[in-house]
Amino acid sequence: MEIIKIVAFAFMALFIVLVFKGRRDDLAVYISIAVGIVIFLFMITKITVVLQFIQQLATKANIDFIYLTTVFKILAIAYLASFCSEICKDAGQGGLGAKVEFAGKILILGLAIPILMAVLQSILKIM
Amino acid sequence: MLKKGVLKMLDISLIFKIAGVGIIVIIINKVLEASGKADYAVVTNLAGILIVLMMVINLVNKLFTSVRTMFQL
Repeated sequence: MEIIKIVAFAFMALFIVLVFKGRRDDLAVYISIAVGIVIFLFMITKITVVLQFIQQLATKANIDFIYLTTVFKILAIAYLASFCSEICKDAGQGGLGAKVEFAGKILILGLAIPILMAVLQSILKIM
Repeated sequence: MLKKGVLKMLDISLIFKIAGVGIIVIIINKVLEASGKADYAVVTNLAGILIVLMMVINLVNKLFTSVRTMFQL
């Protein structure tokens, strides 16, 4: 039961953060960053299984590997951008978080252009 | 690269370490300010923040490398 571990971990971290809240807000932010990263590192083994499954599926379906790596890149960008923006919001700088989200959206759009071109070309072939 | 033991367990000791450093820094800060040595208090403050920041930066580096290896970037 990993979820019990994670919930217990998050509660302990929450109590520690509540001790620091109001006395030293900067240290509370550091602790919340560390907690987020540790929980993510704990979940990496699970995500890796899912990603390997998706790769197997793609090799069986003969999908071009470039598209799959593009999708993985988009996933990584989305995860990192949302992580950073939430930490910025926690630290009270919502504007900075909004800018990070904006940059993430632009980068994802840039990565999605080759896929969009491939879709358009296949439509043109059909017509 | 990541160590295997890091992934298997939730590492609560790091959080406690950060919290301990923070509490000690707060106490030293209070004592120094009460005894009228405000300039030493500022230096202690800075040292504590640097120690905590070093731990957190190591963790952030680990996060970036793990994301990079996971998504094969």
